[in-house]
Amino acid sequence: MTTDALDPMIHAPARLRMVVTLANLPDGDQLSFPRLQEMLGLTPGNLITHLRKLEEAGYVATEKTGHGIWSRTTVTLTDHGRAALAAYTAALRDLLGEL
Amino acid sequence: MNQAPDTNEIADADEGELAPAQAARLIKQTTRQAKRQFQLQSPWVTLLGAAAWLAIYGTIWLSVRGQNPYTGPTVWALLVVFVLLVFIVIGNSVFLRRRTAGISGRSRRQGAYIGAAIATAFVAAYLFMGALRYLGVSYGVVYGVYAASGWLIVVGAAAVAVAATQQDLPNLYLRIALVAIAAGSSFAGPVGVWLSMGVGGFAVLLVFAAYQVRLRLQ
Repeated sequence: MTTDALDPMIHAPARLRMVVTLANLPDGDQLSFPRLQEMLGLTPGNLITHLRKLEEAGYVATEKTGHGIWSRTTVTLTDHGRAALAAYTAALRDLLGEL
Repeated sequence: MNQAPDTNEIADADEGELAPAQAARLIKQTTRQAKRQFQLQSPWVTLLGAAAWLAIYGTIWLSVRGQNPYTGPTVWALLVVFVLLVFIVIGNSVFLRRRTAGISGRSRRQGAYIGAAIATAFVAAYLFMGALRYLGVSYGVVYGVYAASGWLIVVGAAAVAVAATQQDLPNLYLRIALVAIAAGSSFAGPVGVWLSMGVGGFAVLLVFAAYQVRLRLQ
């Protein structure tokens, strides 16, 4: 059983949970940074590290609105990210027989 | 207010080895957790709603039982109903605020539009009740039959349309069942309608809560 077929950008526990969580949001919705952090139980630094990687790959999009203490960062899964997750789960199915 | 990410705190990237079976388990577990946290309904809330429904209709039925001619619920019964309604509104608001915290976008806007549509149906239903009394319809029909079931037929029909457009089949069936109970209960007359609505609605909500529990266990 080899994991080479699995997208390394998603095949890491924290990023996999991030992508799956965002994929369960209703279509067209964004999730705030603090809520995502609370749901995943990650530190802000850890979360932003993974978010940057996913954003560079085009899997998530972040948007910052407001200034200072009123600033708000929201995260959403892009169509590219959704397709990547679908391809990842398909590859997992192939590896395991059935997910 | 939304806390800004701490960009200085760059923790270890989580690059640990992940076996395919572990990944599959993680996907299932995360999906279940996310669905539960994003869902706007919960079996416990439905169960509480069923109990509140029975308490409200039961209280009024107890206060009007045996009335002939129908004179309507007593002040103490209306007071109990008012207190229960306040608890329901506050409890539901807290629950919804928690579930939708941090979520923005299309579903929030859609929720506001649906809320406006349901509120319009609700206000129109009660205005119509006032018009019926003004036009001389009997006290028992207006403050008995219509007050107990008429509003639910109007508001429920709007809610059925919402569930249909969202292709939300469980809620579609639930709302159709409640509207059917309201329509059927109307035949029970100004006193019996409260009992029929109370027991019928309670039973339907219990079945729906059981369905929600079954979904969670799958």
